[in-house]
Amino acid sequence: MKNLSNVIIIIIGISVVAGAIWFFQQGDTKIVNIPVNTSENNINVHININSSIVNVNSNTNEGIPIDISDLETIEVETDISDLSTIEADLELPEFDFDVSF
Amino acid sequence: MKQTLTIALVGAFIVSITLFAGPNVIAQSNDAAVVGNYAKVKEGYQNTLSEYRSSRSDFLSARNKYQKKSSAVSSEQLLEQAKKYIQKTIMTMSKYLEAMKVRVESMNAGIDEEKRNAIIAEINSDIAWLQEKLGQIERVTENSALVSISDSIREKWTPIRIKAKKYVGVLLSARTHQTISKLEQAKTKIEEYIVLLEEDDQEVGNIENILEELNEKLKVTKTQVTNAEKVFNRISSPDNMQSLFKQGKDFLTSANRYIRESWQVFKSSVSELNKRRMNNKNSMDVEASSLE
Repeated sequence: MKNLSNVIIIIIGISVVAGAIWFFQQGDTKIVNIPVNTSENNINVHININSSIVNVNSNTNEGIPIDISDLETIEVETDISDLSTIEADLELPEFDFDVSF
Repeated sequence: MKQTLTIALVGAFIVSITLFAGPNVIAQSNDAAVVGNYAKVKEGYQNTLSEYRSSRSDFLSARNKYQKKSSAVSSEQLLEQAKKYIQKTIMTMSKYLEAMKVRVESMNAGIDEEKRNAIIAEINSDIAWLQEKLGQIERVTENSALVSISDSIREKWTPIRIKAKKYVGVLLSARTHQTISKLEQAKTKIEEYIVLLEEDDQEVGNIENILEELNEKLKVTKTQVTNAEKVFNRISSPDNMQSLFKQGKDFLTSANRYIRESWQVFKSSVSELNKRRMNNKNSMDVEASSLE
């Protein structure tokens, strides 16, 4: 009987934590992963659509700022420079096929 | 009872760590594997290219001695040098194609899956053809037979070069599409913020105008990439290969200029959002569900 109650406590404990994690992940982690680069300079841009509005200001008179930190990190220069890397890496080699003697 | 609670807490901790870290660890492992694989293939190609150059130099030097009737090099020795040289040529071609294949395989966005599979199948077929020649070279006992095989490889290399140039064009276009896609996703997020601001009874005309400008620029960018793709697709012979590739690249250069302009416009919208504050509690209540 005691063992049974122990098992039930364990299951409830794990279920509560798992449920809490699941709940927070539903609202928290909708991550759009764009694999924008597959070279050695690989970049993965995570546009994290979460916690879009974060209360960093307790003064309600000034309103709540919009958290745009994920948008601020987006850049395009690395993507553009990656084109040169692709082209350089895959530049056609020249061969000489003359093996006559 | 105390022991049970400890077990429960440890269990809960393990579950939570697994749930939180698991997906990220897997994703990061996959990314690292792709990057690591390409780096390995690229290094292999560069090493083989270096060996090819070295074996070519050895062969030319030996042939020069042989043609001067030098006793230092016999015809048998020269044939072995020539075989080694052509084998290195084939291996370099194969490694080049493998590097191309890995690039195409890892470009999992920006290239239509059917097209990607077709390219990979063609590359595999070319690599298989080249590998078959390696065995034939091993069995060669006369220079004339080696010259014949070498000629067939030269003939094979011509269409491979044309296709490779086209594939590079495909990769460059796909990579540009990815950048456009990135900006479009960011734009979608800004649109979602606009909805929230409207629900918060705020004026959004300014941000909407900026987004409209961003839309226009992205539209022009896409047109430039589409033009580039059309030009790359027309590559069909050694004669038009270089000129069409250059034309395609010019379109992509133009596309990149618009991408930079789009990014500037996008930054303006971010700055505009940065100034805003949410006042209405109801808007805040719906924000979570709106942005999910």
